[in-house]
Amino acid sequence: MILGYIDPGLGQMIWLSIVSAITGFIFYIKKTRAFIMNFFLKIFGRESKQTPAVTEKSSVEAESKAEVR
Amino acid sequence: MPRLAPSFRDPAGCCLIFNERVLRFVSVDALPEFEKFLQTDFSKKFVAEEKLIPSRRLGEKEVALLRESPELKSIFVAQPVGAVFEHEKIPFQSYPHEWPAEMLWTAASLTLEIAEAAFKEGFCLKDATPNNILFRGSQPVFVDALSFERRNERDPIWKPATQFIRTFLLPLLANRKWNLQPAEIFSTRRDGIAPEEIYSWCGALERLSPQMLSLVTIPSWLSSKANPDDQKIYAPQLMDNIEKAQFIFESGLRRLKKNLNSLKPQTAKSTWSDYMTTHSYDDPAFAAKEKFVREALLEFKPKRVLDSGANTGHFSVLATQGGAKVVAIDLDAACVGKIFEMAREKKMDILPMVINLARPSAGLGWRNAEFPSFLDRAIGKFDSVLMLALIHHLLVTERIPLEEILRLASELTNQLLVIEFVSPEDAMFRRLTRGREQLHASLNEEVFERVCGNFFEIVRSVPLPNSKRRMYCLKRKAVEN
Repeated sequence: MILGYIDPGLGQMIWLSIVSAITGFIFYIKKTRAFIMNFFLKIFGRESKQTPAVTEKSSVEAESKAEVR
Repeated sequence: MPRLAPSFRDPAGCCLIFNERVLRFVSVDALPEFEKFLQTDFSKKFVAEEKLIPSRRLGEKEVALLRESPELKSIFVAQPVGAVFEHEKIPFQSYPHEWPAEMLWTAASLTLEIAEAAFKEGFCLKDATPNNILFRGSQPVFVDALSFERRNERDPIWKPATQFIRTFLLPLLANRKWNLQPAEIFSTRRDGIAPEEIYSWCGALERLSPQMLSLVTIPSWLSSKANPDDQKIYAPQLMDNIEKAQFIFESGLRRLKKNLNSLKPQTAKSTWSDYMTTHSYDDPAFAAKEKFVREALLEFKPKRVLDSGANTGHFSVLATQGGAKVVAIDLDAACVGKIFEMAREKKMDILPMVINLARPSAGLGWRNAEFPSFLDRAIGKFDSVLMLALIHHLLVTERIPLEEILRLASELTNQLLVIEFVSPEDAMFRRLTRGREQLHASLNEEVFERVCGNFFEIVRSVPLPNSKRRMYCLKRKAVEN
């Protein structure tokens, strides 16, 4: 049940949607980069040092830092 | 009538104080989710850490008794009640319009901490307002236990983020930029400040700073350009990719946290914040004052103390050393902020509040009852009241008659009043009078004692050396019916 009884505002709500869309785009860039990195690491016979979960977390942090700047 | 607490807007239930008990009525529809929330690890962890209010479901017999109560009848009739829960009652309630910026920041920090923990267990907060937080002493407690709902894992947007910005980030931004106090914001605005309002206060260059752009300027521009009738703006943007939705949701929380950290209140200076180092007492006088207060507290052992005109809390600390719970009030937000930081760091049982005793906060909200006035909460709730170096401010600056001051003191305390008499010949008294000495020419110790006699018995009094001041330990007379 999503009650959502608070006033979301107008401009704030649109801005939140835009930022979410941008973040979603960044998500795909990070995923693609991680995929390419892993592909080449496999070709050259080296195991990825980071687990996928860690890679995901660090990419979130990098994205967040970029937002603040 | 039972007093409604500020959570009746939530259609999932309401909360009220009835016979000194905090009761939450949860609707039939919302009950399964609320019970699931109570079983989560994070809710148990936060209750154990005293950051979330504990909830106890009342048994059928207890609920049946409540149903019979005529005052509660309308609540049971208004909507089908699934269950009634009882929460711990916070000893003394304080509200956002009585906090310094430091307390607002701490409340915001707890809100985000809880939102993050809830997200990890598949829940989210339905709202994000300072009204969800009360302070137990100097420690924040999340009290609106019904604020949690199961999160739709395909939804990337946390809608209450906009409320979090209006009620926490923008007030903190206004405090940082223009020294605007939470009292000035929340006394007249329940839902914080809109970006458009802040936008109108900013200069052209200020509007373009990175923080202003994302919190104020862009939302204001968008608001002026958008069609307010376009309901698509508010439609849920559900995603097929759950991982992506989670990524966006978590990034949003992290962004709010970064913004909050950048808005941490800085140590402010004010006319009174350096009083402890600049006051007019010499060392023997201050030592005598401290000794007098300590002895009075030791003798009467009060459990609940109101330190009125607390400044930076020197005597509040003294009271906590005897095991008392202290409410420390002062009109100076910078001083109250200092008390809060000190009490929080040392985990002292001091609740600091920005209150001017001559203009205490009024009842606010619906029927003036959502946030009861300070005096409604304070009268008769203390064993001891301290009024140190305060009386001349009330007499001279506020022009309150002496009898009125002592009458209020006698209503606030059930037992003890420690008060400092400041003679009109005192340097600070004279500074405040500004040429109006004649108005207080008749005030002296004899007159003071005579007026005190209307409400109190004088236990003892001691003159402070090298000053025109005298300390009084007064015991309230029994009230005649």
